[in-house]
Amino acid sequence: MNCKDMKDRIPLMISYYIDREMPEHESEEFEKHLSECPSCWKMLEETRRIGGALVRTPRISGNPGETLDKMRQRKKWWNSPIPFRPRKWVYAGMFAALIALLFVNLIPPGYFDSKQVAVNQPSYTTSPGPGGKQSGIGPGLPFSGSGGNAASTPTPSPSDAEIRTAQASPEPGGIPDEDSVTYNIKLNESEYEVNISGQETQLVSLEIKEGDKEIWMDLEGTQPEKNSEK
Amino acid sequence: MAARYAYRKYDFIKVFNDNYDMVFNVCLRICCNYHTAQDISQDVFLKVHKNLSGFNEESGISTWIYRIAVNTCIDHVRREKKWYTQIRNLFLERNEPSGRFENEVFLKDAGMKILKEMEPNYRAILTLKHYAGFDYREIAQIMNTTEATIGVQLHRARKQAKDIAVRGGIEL
Repeated sequence: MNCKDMKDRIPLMISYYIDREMPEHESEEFEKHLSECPSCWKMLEETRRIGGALVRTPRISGNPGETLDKMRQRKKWWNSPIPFRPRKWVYAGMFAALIALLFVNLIPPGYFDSKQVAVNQPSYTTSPGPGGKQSGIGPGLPFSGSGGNAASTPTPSPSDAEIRTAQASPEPGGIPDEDSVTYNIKLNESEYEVNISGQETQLVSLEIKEGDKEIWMDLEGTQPEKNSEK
Repeated sequence: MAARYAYRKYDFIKVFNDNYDMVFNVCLRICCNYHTAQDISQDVFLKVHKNLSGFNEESGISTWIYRIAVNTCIDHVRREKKWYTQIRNLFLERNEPSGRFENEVFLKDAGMKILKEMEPNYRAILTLKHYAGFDYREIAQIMNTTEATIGVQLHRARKQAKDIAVRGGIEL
């Protein structure tokens, strides 16, 4: 090591050396140089003396009792509890919850518990009774097109192919008295025929056919005979 | 008192008792005035009390308190340099001639004479290094900077201190 080449860096290196922040291998090399170079040694001693003078500054005992008394005298401060300050993640959580709430409010009702299916030519086999005019299936909440108008009319025209919401079980009060309703539903390139019949407010039977195959389910939700031929 | 603070993780009185002496002495070395140091210590612990529940434990509680103390002191010294503060202090000294004893005692010390002439930032770094005995990492945490910056600033602070000692004929 030649201090003439590193003249500008030597004071910084001395500072690091005194503070023991220099890497070990560099420290050993620097120590070796210090033992050989009187000018660098002198600089080191001067820097050490500065540090020594600062270390020796008198330790004055303050007056904690007086400070605490002064703080207590501010009665408003002393009687107030330490204010609750939520941490940053609490704020982040609250913000996320707010966004989630807004998002959930934007989703139309019944979005998650219904399927979007194509319904072709809904046909009523009998005239509606006094219990109601309209089927419980497809409660008239179309997502697009002219479905809204079709759903509100008691006898929709066959040409009105529309997107409807078909529920797994109809509302109890939605079935006309002793009436049955048949729907032809297209879902995933398969055609299903769904026949629902009811009496007053009671659902009597639910039949589902895929082409000629009957895959009907009874009202308890069991499937007695799978793909049985009718 | 214990019941009053039972819900807190940190008992304010304990925090106060553990840290007051060191905070006061650090403030004294940065402000170079006994009474100012006392007032600032009070301000520091008021801030500690106010923010104790929001303390995020990224660093130790002492480091956090030192950071508050150093920042408050540096702000105070910078404000004091302004002309209107100097005029106010002149009036205060005239109206309050007593209580200068403590100032006279410690300002006779060579180290304090040097510190008094230095920039507040360098006073803080030298105090944290030589008086409080922190290493570069801890000082960097307190001063909210990097270790490399602290190394360079310490070197510059020592250079300034050496110049002040030579210029003022202060024997070390």
